[in-house]
Parts: sequence; C-alpha cells; structure tokens
Amino acid sequence: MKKRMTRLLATAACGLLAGAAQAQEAEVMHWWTSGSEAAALQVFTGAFEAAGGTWIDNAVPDFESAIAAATSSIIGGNPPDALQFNAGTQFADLAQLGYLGDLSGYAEAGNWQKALPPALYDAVSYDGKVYAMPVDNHGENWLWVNRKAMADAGVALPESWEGFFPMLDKLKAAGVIPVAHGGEAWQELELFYQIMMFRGDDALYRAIVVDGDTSALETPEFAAFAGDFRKLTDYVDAGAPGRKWNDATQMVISGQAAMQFMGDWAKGEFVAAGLVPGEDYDCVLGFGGEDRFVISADVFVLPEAAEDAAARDLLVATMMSPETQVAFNELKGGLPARLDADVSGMDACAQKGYAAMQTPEFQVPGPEISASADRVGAIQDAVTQYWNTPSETPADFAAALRDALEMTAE
Amino acid sequence: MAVLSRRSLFRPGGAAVALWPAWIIVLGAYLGTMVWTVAVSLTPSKLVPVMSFAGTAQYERLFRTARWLTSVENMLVFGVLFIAAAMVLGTLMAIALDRKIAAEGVVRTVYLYPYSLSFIVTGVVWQWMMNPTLGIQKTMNDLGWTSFRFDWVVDPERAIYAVVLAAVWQSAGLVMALVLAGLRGVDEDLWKAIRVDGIPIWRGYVSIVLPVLRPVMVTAVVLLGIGVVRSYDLVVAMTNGGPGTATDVPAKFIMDFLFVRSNVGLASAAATVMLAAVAAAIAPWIYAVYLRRR
Repeated sequence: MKKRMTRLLATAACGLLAGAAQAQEAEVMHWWTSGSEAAALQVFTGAFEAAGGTWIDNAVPDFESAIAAATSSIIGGNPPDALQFNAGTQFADLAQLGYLGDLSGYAEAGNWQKALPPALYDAVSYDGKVYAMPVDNHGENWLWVNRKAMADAGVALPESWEGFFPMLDKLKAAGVIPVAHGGEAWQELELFYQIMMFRGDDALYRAIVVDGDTSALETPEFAAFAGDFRKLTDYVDAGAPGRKWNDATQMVISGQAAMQFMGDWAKGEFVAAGLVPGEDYDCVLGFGGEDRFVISADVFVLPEAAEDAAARDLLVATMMSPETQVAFNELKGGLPARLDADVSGMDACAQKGYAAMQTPEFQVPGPEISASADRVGAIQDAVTQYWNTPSETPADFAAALRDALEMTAE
Repeated sequence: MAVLSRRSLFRPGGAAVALWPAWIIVLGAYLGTMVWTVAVSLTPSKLVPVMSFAGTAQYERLFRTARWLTSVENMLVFGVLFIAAAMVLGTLMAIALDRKIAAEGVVRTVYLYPYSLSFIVTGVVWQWMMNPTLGIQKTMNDLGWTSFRFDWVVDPERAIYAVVLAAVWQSAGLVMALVLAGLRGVDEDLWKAIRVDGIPIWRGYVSIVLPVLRPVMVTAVVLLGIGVVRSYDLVVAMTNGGPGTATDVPAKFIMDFLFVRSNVGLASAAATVMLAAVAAAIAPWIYAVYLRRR
C-alpha cells in the first residue's frame, strides 16, 4: 500500500515536472525484493538517476506473480519501460509475437556478442535478433562446504567423484549430516544437474535437457548416474522434505551439516553470517579442477509498446555498463554477465566462478536457458518423483524422463 | 422522469431491470470466463493464449501426465477423508456441547478457534509439528522414547493423510458451530416426545434429531466440499505438493502450469476437467433439491 502511494506520488510529481524538464523517466518492473536483492537494485537506480534519469520502481514480490504481471501488462498494451525475466525461453513467445523491442542495434554497438558468454548471448537472442539485456550470471552448481565440519571428521574433498561417497561415509560416521538438502521439487531438479556436473556428465545433461534426446536415457552413463543420485538420498537427513534452501544453508553454516549443493545465491547467507570464503567455508564447482559452470541469468526486456528512445538509451547504457554490473553483483552474489568486466575486486568465490567461465566447454547453459518452462517443469516432476520414491528403479526414472521429453516436444 | 410511472420501475418489469447488473456479472464474469477457459483448452496456447484449434491434444497429454493423475487421486482421498472426518468429529463435538457440559462457552471457543486461523498458518504449524527433526517426534526422541515415529509429512505414502489431519483440525470446529446452532433450534417438544417414548438419547440423536438437521448437514458438506476443491493454500503451506508429487492437488497443478510453466493450454484443459467434475458432483444435488420438487 505504502509502495503504491509512493508510486502514485512519484507519478504525479513526474507529471508536474514533465512540462518543466524532459527527464528521462523509466518505469521498471522486477521481483527483487529480498534484502540483498533490493540493495543490489539500488546500484542500478543510483546509476540511472546519476545519469539524469528518473527511475520509477515497480516491484512485484515473488517471481511467479511478477512473471504473470509482466506478461499481462505487455499483452494489455500498456507495459512499463523495462521488465525483468529469466534468460532463456521464458520470453521467446513474447518476442515471437512481436511484443518486445529489438535491441540488436545496442548489441552491435556494445559488442555484446563478444562480451557475453556464448550460451548467454544465445539465450537473449531469438531468430537472430537480440531481445533482452542480461545483467548478471548466476552459477547454479556450487558446492558449499563447512571447513570445520570437514576437519573435525578428518576428511577432505576428493580429487574425483570416486572419492565422494567414501568421504560422505566418514562424515556420517562422525555424526554429521553429510549433505544438507532442502526437499522441494525445484531444489531436487537443481541437485539432479549439480550431481551430473560433479560426476562429469555434462554431455548427458546436454543430451537430455538441451537437446531432449531420449536415446541418452538408454545409456549406461544414465543408469550409473541414476544409481548415484539414488545413493545420495542415504546421506540426507529425514527432515529434508519441504525444507527451504536457506534453512539447509544454515545447517552448513552451523556445522550441523557438512555441505550443500546450491546456486551462488547461498553465498549471501554465508556473508550475512560473517563467514569468510577460503577460511570458514569453501565454494567448489567441481572436483580435481574440472570446474563446470551452469549459467542462469536475470535479464530485462524493453517492450515495443513503451517506446521512449531516450529512456531506453539510458537504461541500456546503465544496465550494460561493466562497472555497474560488477557493483550490482557484489551485492547480489552473482557474476557480471559481461566477461569483459573487471572482477579483481570481487570475493574468492566470484573469482573462481569467473575463472571457470573462461573455458567455453565448461560453460553449461542452465535448464531455463536450454528448454521451455514446460519441459523443465516436466523434467522436474520426474526428478522429484524419483528422488522421493525409494521403490523407483533407474529404469522407471528413465521411462518417466522419456515421457516428460516426449510430451513437451515442440 | 414524469413519463415513467412508479409501476414500471418497481413492479415485475422494474425488478428485472434492477437485476441486469447481476445478470451481466453472472453472464460475463462467470459464464464468459468458463467458455473462454474451455475454448483455450482446445488450443496449443503456451505463455499467451492463441486461437488456433488443436483438438483434444491438451486433454490427451493431461491424462498421460502422471502428476495430474496423482493430483486427482489425492483430491478424492483428501475429499472423502476430510469431509467424513470433519463431519463426524464436528457433530460429536456439537452433541457433547449440546448435553450442556460445564464451561461450555470456553470449550466452544476452543473448538472453533482453529477455524479462525488461515490455511497457511495451519499448514506451517502442522508441518513443523510433524517434521521428524523439529517437531513432536524429536521432542519424544529427546525425552528418551527413541522408537517414537510421527513423520507423516515427510513420508510420500502418508503425507496426504498429514494434510487431511491438519485440515480436519482446522475445519471440524466450523461443523461443530453449524450443527450446534441446528441442535439448539430443535423444538423442545421433540425431546419431550423422545423422553416420553423412552428412547435412548443416542438413538434420539441418530434416528430423530440429526435427520431433522439435514439442511444444516448439507450446508456443512457443501462448505467443506468447496474447501476441498480449493485445497491449494493448505497444501502449498504444508508440503508444497511434496515429498515428490505425493500431495499434489489439481488446483496446484493448474497454478503451476498457468504461471510457472507458461502452458496456458494444458492448465485450461485441467481447469475444464475440474469444472466438469464439480458439475458432475453437484448436478444430482441440484436435481434433487430444485428440480424434482416441481
């Protein structure tokens, strides 16, 4: 209510001022409302206003409502100047129907093709044109490890996947919960490809999620993966189902659990607890130096109907500036979307992620980038069902995934 | 104004005019959106509704989707158990209060209190209580009863019963209040007749008084039934459909496909099936109550 009043007043004030000075005002719709997100957003608003613009904030808490609100405002014909989406197929429908502004001119001028990781550039392009600007790059496949819990149990991270379960056995014997897990469907989907990355099965991931190739489900690699995925359920505590991701992170922070697989947003929890990477905890992207990086990103689209060239120029200039992206992501927990940004001032985990991003074959496009929301959802249903049904065999799992891929084939 | 007589404004013709806004709302908002939903379910719509005909493809996919079948089964299990348990428990509580026990006011408030909580609060509290590493099980285990188990909410086989338990706890008080109001309205002479005939009290309730309260019972069942169809918030707060898809319900399925998975076509097909199911369930009742008497 308060926010709405503020907006109303802001709009009224802008209306009054419009006659006097042609301020470049832009209404921006987003879902960044948590503490660290809101703080990070201030970097953008600050930079935009410092450059002479007027930022009209339109925050819709909760990602699902925000997507619904964004979609209906675009189709309704009176959209804000910029709207947040996730990189990938989410906004492809809107681009296809001509609702989104073509940013190819900006992309060429700013050399985005060279500055962005190839997977991310593909994710913001549709039919050869660029329709969105990515502002961050989140690694989804991090392993967060409590150093003290590991030292107390007398174990160290293995050099390859083979050493992983023996290490978990020792942790279990030492009375620590080996893996903190939040048993929600989306977290189980994350775990599904996180384990694939740590096992070195990125080809399998690409075949299933990116290409939708059902023959990959027949391979011995898939059977071995499915076996290990099932085995991991033995190292998770009984209270996992329904647990929120940040509650699981707190278990690692307190030392009740030794480690958690989670995207880089978990770093915010460690930072808030006053822990230092490399001293109190480790952030790991792979064993034995094989640091794969699963990309997901927040992007902004500029609807065709909200054409205001000056505001648009200023928005793109602000959000695509390497320095602003670095400042933004220091607070948000991700990496700048641009590979040409200077990250030397960022923390150890960000440095590690940035180093992994330099190897193109280890850059893996996340599910949201690779497949339709419909397909990702169908895969998620199959994964969470397998994880939670001890009687389901790897062959059942393969059959469920085959169904998911076939039903969502375009 | 002078031309319009009072008659045409307020007599039958005028009443019809006064009802027009209501008719517009009913036809436009309710029937219109129903027709729209059915129409969209026959299209290949994804994020945005598109009007091209796709036949029954969405329905074919819907009934091949394991998660949909689970959610329908869950709604049936939940609906039958929840309505039966809430009715029995609520009626027993009402009868207990009707026997004029001591401190009735306090007990009545306590019974009705859960109903003042939202489904969200109910779900979260019961989730904590039934979580084996936080709630009752942990307390009992810590007290030394190490074999005690109360972990329904994390057990895929039993999680739906955990949801039923929480829902009954929340809603039994409502049934109690309705039935108690009905019992208090029963004519004293009826009880006198029961006493004169020497009929046992339990028999008096089962065979005479409760049948008299049939309209109250129907109201209670309808209210609970509506709760079943929109059993969305309780499930979201308590299990979010998990573990796995063990406690998924149709309403959650539809919301997921409508918003998160941008598949408006499939969500509309699911909503249409729900509409048909609800219509099939209440059609006999409408027939019995409104049509047969004429």
